[in-house]
Amino acid sequence: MKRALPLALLVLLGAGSLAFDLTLPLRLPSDQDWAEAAGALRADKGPDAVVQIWPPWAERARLFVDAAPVAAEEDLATADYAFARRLWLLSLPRVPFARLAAARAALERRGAAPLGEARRFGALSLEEWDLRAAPLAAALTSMREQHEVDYVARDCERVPIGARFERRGAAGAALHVRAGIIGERAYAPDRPPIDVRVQGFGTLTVRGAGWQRLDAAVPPGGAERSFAFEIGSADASSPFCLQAWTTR
Amino acid sequence: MKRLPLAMGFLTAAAMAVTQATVGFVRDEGYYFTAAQSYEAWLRALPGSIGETERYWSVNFEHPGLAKLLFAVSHLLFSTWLRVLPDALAWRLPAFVFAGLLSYWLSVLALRRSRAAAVLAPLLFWCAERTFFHGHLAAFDVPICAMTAGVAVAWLRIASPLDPRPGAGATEAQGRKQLLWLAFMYGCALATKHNAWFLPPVLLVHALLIPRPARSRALRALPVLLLSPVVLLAAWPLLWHDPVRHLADWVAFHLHHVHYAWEYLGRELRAPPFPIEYPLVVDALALPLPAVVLYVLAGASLLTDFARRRLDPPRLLELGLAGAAVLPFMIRTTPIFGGLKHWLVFLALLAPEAAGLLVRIAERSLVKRALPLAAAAALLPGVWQIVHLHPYGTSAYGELAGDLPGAASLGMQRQYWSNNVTGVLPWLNAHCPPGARVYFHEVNVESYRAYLQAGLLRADIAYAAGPEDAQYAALQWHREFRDREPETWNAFGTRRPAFGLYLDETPQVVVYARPGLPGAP
Repeated sequence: MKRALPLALLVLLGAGSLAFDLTLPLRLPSDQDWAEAAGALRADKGPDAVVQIWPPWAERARLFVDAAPVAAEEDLATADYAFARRLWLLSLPRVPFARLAAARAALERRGAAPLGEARRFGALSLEEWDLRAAPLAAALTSMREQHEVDYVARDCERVPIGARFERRGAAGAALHVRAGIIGERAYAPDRPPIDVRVQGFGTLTVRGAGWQRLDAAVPPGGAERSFAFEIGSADASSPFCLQAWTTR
Repeated sequence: MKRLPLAMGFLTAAAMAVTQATVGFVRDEGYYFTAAQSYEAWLRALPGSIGETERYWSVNFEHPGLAKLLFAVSHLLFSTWLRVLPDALAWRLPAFVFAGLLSYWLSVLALRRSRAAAVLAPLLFWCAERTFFHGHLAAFDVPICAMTAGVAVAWLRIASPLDPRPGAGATEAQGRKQLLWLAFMYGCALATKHNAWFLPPVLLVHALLIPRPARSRALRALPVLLLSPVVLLAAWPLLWHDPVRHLADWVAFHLHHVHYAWEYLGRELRAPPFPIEYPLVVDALALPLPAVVLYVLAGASLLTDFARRRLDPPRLLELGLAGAAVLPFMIRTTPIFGGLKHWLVFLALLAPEAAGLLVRIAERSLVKRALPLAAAAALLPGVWQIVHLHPYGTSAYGELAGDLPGAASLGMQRQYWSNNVTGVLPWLNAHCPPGARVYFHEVNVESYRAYLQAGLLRADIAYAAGPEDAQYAALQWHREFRDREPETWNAFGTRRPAFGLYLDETPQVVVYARPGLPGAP
C-alpha cells in the first residue's frame, strides 16, 4: 500500500489537472451569456451608467456591450468613473483567481452600494451599484478621446508640455484634476517631473508613472468659472494627458 | 545508433512537420527568414559572391550562422530548386530535424535508466504547448537545446561510456573519433547560439568532479574543444572577413542586450534587478502541473544525490547543464524576456531524470499496468494543453496558474512574438475590401511578408504603420502596449471591436474596423 502511494498521488495529480482543464469551459461565458447580459444592460442600464468588467482582462465584453461605456479599471476603490453615477459590475465570478469579493469590497470602500442581487447569465454575473458620487457639474477637458495612462484607458485630453489654457464651465463645489504620461514613456527612468499649475488651486506634480490626482474645493463665487491650467516640464516631449472636471 | 532513440527522434520531427501549418511566424522568424533569403542568394551566387560575403551575411549579424545556413540550404533545395515545399515549410524543416535530434539525445540520455525512461523523457519535454510550439520555429532555442543535449551525449561517450560493460571501452581509433565528434558537436552548438558559451565551464567542472580514471580521460579530452571554433568559422561565413570585429559585435550584442518590458505577477519588469525566482516561477506557471511536479522531483533528486555524492557522471552532467541553463536567468541582470524559451535546456536536461523517476514510481508500486497509468497521469494534461491551445504556444499556462484566465488574473505575460495573429487572418481575408490597409501592431514587416508569401494573408492587404494610417487594426494584447487600443479608438471613432482571438476568454488579438467597412460592428 505504502509503495503505491507515490503512484496514487501522481494519478490523482494528473486526473485533477485534467479535470481542471476540461471543466474550465464550464466556468467561462458563452456568446449567448454575453449577448444576454448585453441585452439586460440595454434594457436596464439607466442614465449615467458605466459597465465595469471584472476581472479587468475580460474585455471580450467590448464585442457585446453597447449600452454604456465599458471600463477596465484595475483598482475599483480609487477609479474615478467621473461621468457615471451608476456602475454595472459585469464579472466572470468562476474563473480562477477572479477575486470578485475583493472587487466588491473595493467598491464598498469608495462608498458605493449594491442595488439588489446579482443577476446570472450563465457564467456571467451582473450587479448594479450606486456609486453615490457627486453629480457632474462640468467636464473641463475633452471627453472625445481616450488615452492609456498607467495601463487604464482614461477619458483625458492630450495636451502639449508648455501649454497654457483656460477652460470655462460650471463651478460646482469641487474641482478634480487628473494627469499622467501616456504609454510606456511614463516608465522611462530619470524623466523630469511635470507640473500642472491650476490657478488658484495649487500644483499637481507628475513624477514617474501613475495617474496623479488633485481634488480641491471650489471657493464661493460665480456659478460659472474659468479655470486656468499651465503645464510645465523640462521634458517637453512627454505625451501628456490631462482630465479635469467639476462636481456639484 | 540506437533504434528506440531514433524512433523517438523521427516521431518528434514528424509530429512537428504535421502540426506546423497553423503556427504563425514569430517576430524573430521574420528576421531569420530574411537572413536565410540573403544567405541563399549568397549560396546561389557562389563562387562569385565570395568577395561580397560580408554584405550577404551582415543580415542578422548577432547570431551565428549554422541554423540560418540550414534554413537557407533547405529552402534552396526544397523550395527554389525542387519546388516541392512552400517557402516557410522549407525554412522550418531544419527546425524539425533539430527537434528530432533533441528527442534522440534525450532518449539516449534516459536509456541508461531504462527503455521506458527513454520513451518518456522526450515525451515529458514535448508534452506542453510551450515546448511543443518552440519545436516548430525556424529559430535557435530548440536547436541550441538539441545541440546541448548532443554535446552532453558526446562528452559522456568519453567521460562515462554509455555502455559500461567490461571490454566495451573505445579503441584508440574510436577514442580519436569520439574526441573529434565532441569537437564537432560543440562547434555546432557554438555555431547555433551563444548559450553554448556556458558549456565548456560546465564540462570542466564535470571533469573535475567525476572519479578517476574517467576524470583523467575527461580532462585530457577538454582541449579538443579548441578545435570547435573551426565549425563556427565554417558555418558562419561572416567571420571570413574581419573575424575579430564580427566576433566582438556578436559578443557585445548579447552583453548589452536591450531589456523589453515583461509582465510578471502583476508587475512590468523593465530593467534589472529581476526577481531571482523568475525562471522557476515562469516554468511552474506555464507547464502542465504533473510535469512541473516531476521536474521539481527530478531537480530535488539530482541535488540530493549530489549532496550525498551519489551522482554518477551522466546524472552529474545533466544537473550541471540544467543548472547552467537556468542560473544565468537567476543572477537578476540577464534579460528575462521571451518566457521559458531561453532556458529550455533546463527542462530538457531534467527530463531524463524526471522520466526515470516516473518509471521508478510505477515499478515500485507493484500495481498492474502501473507504467501506462503513471505515464498517462504525467502526460495527458500536457497533451490536452497542446490539443486545446496549439498553435498559440506563447500564451499557454498550466493548472498552477489557473490556465490562461488564471494567468491573466495573476498578471502574467499574455503572449509575445505576435504569432497569434494567425487567429484573425482568415477574418481579415474574408472582410477586408481590396487594397485595405491593416495595422498589424507587433507583427513586423518581415513576418507580414512571410504571411503573404505563405498565402495566409491576401496579397492585396497592405501593411499600415499605425492606426491613423489604417482601415483595420489587429492589436496584440500586451500590457506594455495598452496605449495602442485607445489610440485605435481615437483614430477609428469606435471602441467596439469587430472580431478577436480570445483564448479561454483572454483577449489575445483584437481586431477593429473603421465604421462602415465590411465586418465593422
